[in-house]
Amino acid sequence: MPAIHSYLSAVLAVIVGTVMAFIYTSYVNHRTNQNDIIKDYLADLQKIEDLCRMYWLPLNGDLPLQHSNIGHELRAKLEATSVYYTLSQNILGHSFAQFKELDQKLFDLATGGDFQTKRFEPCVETYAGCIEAISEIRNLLRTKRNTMFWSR
Amino acid sequence: MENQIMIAVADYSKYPSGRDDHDGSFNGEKFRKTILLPAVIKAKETGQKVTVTLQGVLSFGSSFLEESFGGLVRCEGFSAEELETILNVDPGRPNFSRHVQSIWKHIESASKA
Repeated sequence: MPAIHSYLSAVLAVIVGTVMAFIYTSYVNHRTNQNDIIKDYLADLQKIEDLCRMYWLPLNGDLPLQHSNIGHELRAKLEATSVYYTLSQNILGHSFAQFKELDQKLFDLATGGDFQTKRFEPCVETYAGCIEAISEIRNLLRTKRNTMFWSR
Repeated sequence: MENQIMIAVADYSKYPSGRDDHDGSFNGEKFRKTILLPAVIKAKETGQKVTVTLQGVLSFGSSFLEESFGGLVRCEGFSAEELETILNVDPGRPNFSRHVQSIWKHIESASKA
């Protein structure tokens, strides 16, 4: 008949194994969740990039109402993505300061100058500035995502 | 007497936009002249603070923020230093802090212009 300490060892091994499995699963879930947030943000940035192009470089055939609606859409999309401002703090860590600056730059440029005013004029420089800010934000997010190799 | 004057931008409009009357009813110039400026003048006279809360607003455009807040420097003659002592901007929710930064940036830019 096995000694009592054999049972205790087995029970202890099961408990330790369960705790480790729980910690591992929680950690991977957490990382996967962060990765999903980054993916969603990248998708939203693509939409913002498209809207910036349509708003700041309108086609000659665009009607004023259509253009105005694109402005509302761009503004709403930028506002909606501000939720990432809070979420990104935990995900980006020490890169958050740089992200904050870029996020501010994108908002100021995309809705800057005479945005949604009667004096609006297409502006290549504004569009270029928006694209630059978006690309830098993308770069930050992708760099971060590359460090999450287990949840890609 | 309370030591601060509260202004809720959402009471003015939940969707403020544009610079002046050409751009719609809820523009930056109107907000500045009818709501913000009287409060800032009163606060300056009485030593109170003006707290502007952004809570409840759906979104902002830079043109509205620049005309409202940058306009205090550009058109009404306040200095950025004066406004720093009088004005307090409450984002209302964490993700609106980008607008607070934007407001102070417009005030600073207007004072350098």
